[in-house]
Amino acid sequence: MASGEVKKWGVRALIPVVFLVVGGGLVLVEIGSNVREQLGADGEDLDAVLVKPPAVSLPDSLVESTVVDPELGEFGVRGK
Amino acid sequence: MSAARTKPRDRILAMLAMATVIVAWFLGYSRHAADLLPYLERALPEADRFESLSGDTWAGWTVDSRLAGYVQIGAADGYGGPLQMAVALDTGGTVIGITIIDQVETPTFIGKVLREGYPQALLGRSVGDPLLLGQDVDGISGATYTVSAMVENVRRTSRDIGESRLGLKVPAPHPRSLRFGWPEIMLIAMYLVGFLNLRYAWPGRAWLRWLSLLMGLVMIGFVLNQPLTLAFLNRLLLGFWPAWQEQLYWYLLVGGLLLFMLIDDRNVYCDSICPFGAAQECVGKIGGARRETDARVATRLKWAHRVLVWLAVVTALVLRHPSISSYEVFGALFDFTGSRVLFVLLGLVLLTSLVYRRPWCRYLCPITAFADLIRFLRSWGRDQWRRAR
Repeated sequence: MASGEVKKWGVRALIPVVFLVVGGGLVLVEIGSNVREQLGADGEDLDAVLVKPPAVSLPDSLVESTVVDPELGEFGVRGK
Repeated sequence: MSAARTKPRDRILAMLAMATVIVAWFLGYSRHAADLLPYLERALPEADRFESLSGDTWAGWTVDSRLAGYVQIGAADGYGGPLQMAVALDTGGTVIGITIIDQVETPTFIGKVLREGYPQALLGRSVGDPLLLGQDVDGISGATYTVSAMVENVRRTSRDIGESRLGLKVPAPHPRSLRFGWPEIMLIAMYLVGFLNLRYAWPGRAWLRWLSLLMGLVMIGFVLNQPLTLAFLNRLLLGFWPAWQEQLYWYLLVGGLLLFMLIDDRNVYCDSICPFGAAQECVGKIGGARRETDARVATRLKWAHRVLVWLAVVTALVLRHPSISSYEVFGALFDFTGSRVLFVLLGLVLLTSLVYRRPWCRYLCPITAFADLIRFLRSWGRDQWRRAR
C-alpha cells in the first residue's frame, strides 16, 4: 500500500490488511494443526489415535479384559 | 465480479482453481484405501483368524477353532460424511467390540464425543435394544450427528448379525423418515422473505433485514448452531451426500443460496440469514463500523481471501476429509467449542467488527468466496450463451 493511499484513507485503510494477515495466519495455523493431528508427524494415518477412547465405565460384571494395542497403548475395554 | 468486469485474468484464475480442485479430488480418491484386518482384530481381539461371510461381515475364530463372534463393517452419515465402524457381537447377540475405521468429523467435535465416552458407551448393548437417541441412548449437545451416526452403525450392524447369523429376533427397522420440522420451515420462510426484501424496495426493508438477521443469529446460531460451513460444501464436493430425508435442513441451506444466486444474482444467505454476519453487524453497531477501503487494495485482499479458501478446499479433497480444513469460528461463538486458535480468531473478528463492517465475510469467510465463484460462473455462462446466440 503506497503512503499516498494510507494518507487518503487514513489508518482505517490498514485495518483490512492487518486483519487478513493476522486472521489468515491463524486460519493456516488451524488447518495445519488439524492436518497434523489427522496425519501425525510421521505421515502415518492416526485415525486410531483420534478414536482412542477415554476410560470406560462398564459394569464390572461385563468387563472381561483390557485390550492393549502395542502401538497405541491401552485401547479400550472389551465386554464379556 | 460482474459480467462486464469479467477479465481474462479472472477467467484463467477461476479455471485454474477449478482444475486444481478436480486434480485434488482424484489425488485424494486414489490414496484412500483401508486395510480392514487391523480393525477387525481390534473389534474382536479374541479371534485368531477371520472368515469372510459376505462383503462386510466376518466370523472370528479363536485359536482352538471356537466361534468368538461376528464383526460387521457399517457406515452411517455423520456431520462431515460417512462414519465407518467395525462392530463385533458375541454369539449371544451382545455388542462386545467397536472400532472406528474411518471418520471425517470436525476434530473438535469428534474429540468431544470421544471424551463423553462414545462409541464405547454402546458396548454391552444387545441386538434387541431400541438404540434410539433420546430414548435409551443419550445424545451430546453440539455433536448430535456424530453420535447419531455411531448409534445407527451399531444398531444396523448388530441387528443384521443378530438376524442373519445368530437367528435372533430383532426389532423391525425404522423406516427412513423425513425430517421436516420448524428449522426447515423457518429456513424456507427466511430465504423467501430475504429474497423478496432484497429484490423489491419498500420502506420497511432495512427493518425486515435486521429482523431476519437477528432471527438467524438466535435460531440458526445459538439454538441450532447450524450455519452454512465449508465442511458441508466440501462434503458435497467429495460426494458424501447425506440422505436428503434426514438432512433436509442442509440441502435447504445450500439450495437456497444457489437458487437465488443463479436466478437473480442475489446472495440472500449472507445478506439476511447468516448468524455470524448478524453477530458482526451487531458488534459493528456498537462501534460504528464502516466499510471503507481503497478499491485496488480491496481487490488484492479479495484474491488473497480466495487463495486461502482454495487452499482449504484442496486440503480437504486431497485428504478426503471435509472438515479437516474447516476454520470457521461459528462453534466458538455459538457453542463455546473450538481450539484455542479459533477462539483467538473469533476475538480478532469481533474486535475488528467494531470499526470495520463484516471483516470475516469480506476477507476470510469461505461462503463468500464460494458465492463469488457462483457469481462468476453465472456471468460467464450468460456471456457465452449470448455469444452463441
